[in-house]
Amino acid sequence: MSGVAQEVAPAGTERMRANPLPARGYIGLAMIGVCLAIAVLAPWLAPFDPNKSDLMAILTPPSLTSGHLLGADDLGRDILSRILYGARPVMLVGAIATVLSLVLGATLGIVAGAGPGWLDQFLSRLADVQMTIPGLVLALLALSLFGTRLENLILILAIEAWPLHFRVARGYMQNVRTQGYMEAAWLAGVPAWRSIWRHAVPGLIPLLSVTASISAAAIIMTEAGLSFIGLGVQPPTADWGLMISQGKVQLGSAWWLSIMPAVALGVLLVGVQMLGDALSQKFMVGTRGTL
Amino acid sequence: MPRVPAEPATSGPDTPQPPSLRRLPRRGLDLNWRYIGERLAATVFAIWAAVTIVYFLMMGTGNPALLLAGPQATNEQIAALNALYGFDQPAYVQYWNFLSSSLSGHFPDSLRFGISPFKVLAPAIPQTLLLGGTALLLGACLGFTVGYFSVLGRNPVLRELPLAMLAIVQATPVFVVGIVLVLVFSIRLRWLPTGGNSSPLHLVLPALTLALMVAPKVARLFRASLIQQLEADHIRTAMAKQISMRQVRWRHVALNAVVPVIALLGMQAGAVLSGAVLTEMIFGWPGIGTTLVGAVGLQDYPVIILTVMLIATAVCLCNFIADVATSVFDPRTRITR
Repeated sequence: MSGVAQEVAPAGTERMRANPLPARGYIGLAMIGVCLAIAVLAPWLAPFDPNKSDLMAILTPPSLTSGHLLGADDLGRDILSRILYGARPVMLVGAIATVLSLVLGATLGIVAGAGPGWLDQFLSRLADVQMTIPGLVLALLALSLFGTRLENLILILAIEAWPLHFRVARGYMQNVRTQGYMEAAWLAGVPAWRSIWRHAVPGLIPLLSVTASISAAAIIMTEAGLSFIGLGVQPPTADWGLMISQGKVQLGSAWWLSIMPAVALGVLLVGVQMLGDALSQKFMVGTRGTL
Repeated sequence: MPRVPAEPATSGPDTPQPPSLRRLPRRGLDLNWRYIGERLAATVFAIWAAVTIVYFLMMGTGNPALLLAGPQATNEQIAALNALYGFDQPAYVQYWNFLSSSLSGHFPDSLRFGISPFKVLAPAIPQTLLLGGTALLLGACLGFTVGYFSVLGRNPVLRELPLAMLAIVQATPVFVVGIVLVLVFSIRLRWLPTGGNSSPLHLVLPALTLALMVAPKVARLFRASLIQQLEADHIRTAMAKQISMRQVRWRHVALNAVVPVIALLGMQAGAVLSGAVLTEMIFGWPGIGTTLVGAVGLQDYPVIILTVMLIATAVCLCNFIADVATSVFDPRTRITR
């Protein structure tokens, strides 16, 4: 079950220099950067108010002349403006939930890998069990029970993503604690927490950058899926998953309602995936395809 | 899907075996019951833990009786729920009641339909099994084909292009894939219906949508596994023995490379079921996903909780089946465990 994490070798600095980040990593980074810039600069970039409906513009197809570059929806709201503003919940939820899950998973993983055996057993079982409940279904249950507030959404997505970081951090710690430099630090009287922080965590960060990109993609996808179902971001707030869902009914007559935000979502997700691929190629040379 | 032999190619029945390898399985289906027992115990544990997680989530809301009885519940209804679950009793009693009543199939009635949630879900389950099963099969076939040609194909375009396309599909959420398929095949080309389930034709698009979720993962793992097999010693031996390349490719490389993918397919059950929730919603397929989303809309908690527990159970069982299947096809997992 945890074979993924155990094969991961510590990445040394020499190997980092020998393996520059592949080009598609920079392309992916650029795609994520564009989405982030859109989210931050939405008020300045958007040609219209994203929630203002214009009865004259209902279902305007995309065109260069009408002013609605990507068309307008069934309430006459400008799609481009809604996509720009819709990047905000997507990026916000994606970023915060990823960071939270990373901190949670890595901390527990280090504790499990370096701590006593019973704790390791307990946490590993917990991670296994959590992975048996599909993320979307668990989030669906939790959000329907506790309400679809944004902080609930972030929290549940973060809780769902921790096992991946946990497994990698745990496997790494188990590997590292037997290394000579850790024993040397111990013999020199360095406290355990300090040798973990100084000697283990720096080597773990490259691996976590890979798991972070994997879980970011999963989190963004689940967020969009939940918004699509109606349990994520609530209308009238612009959100990509929600826009795709709202446009679905009009697919025959006005395809741009769903497809335009879907393209935006696709760009972000492909970007994250490319970055993740490039990072894993850079840092996990021997273990490609295992994560 | 290629057929997988029940015994490894390396251990013939007549080969004299060194003493340390005496535990190598003999010809035929030699199941390691101890391993299966261990996996079964782990599965039961996982199901129990999943039900417990659902229970704690339910208790976390503060007032589970009101939740299960609905906002218009009378005092008698709440009293009846208290009698069933003991929500007015200590926590361990409540928990025990929840476990035993879930196991024995006693569940509060659906708030919307007034019948047992099992009856609400009963017609939906075969529909989801049909959709998920077709999708898993189709995705596996597609993934195996693409993976095979990506390593052993002659044509460089055929080697790279399908894999790159699947990588893009993998990065796309399943509901976007579904919508694009509807737009292309139903609305533009008018080949296939947009939704419903009245004919086998209605199955094509939802199954394809879900299959496209599985195929990239299968293709990637099969590809990695094929590359690993190509470097194995027995392949070199087979080629040295002048066995035809065709036979080496199929019997020695491809069949051995299938084994890790079987475990992946079992692991994909959970992803397929979450994907099914979204796919069923797009195509109006009357499976448990549609039931679940409908119940969420109506705040029909007995149905929601039962569906989530059923999905978790199904995922655990699929993982179990995959573990056992892997141990049947790959004797090494039986020995090392």
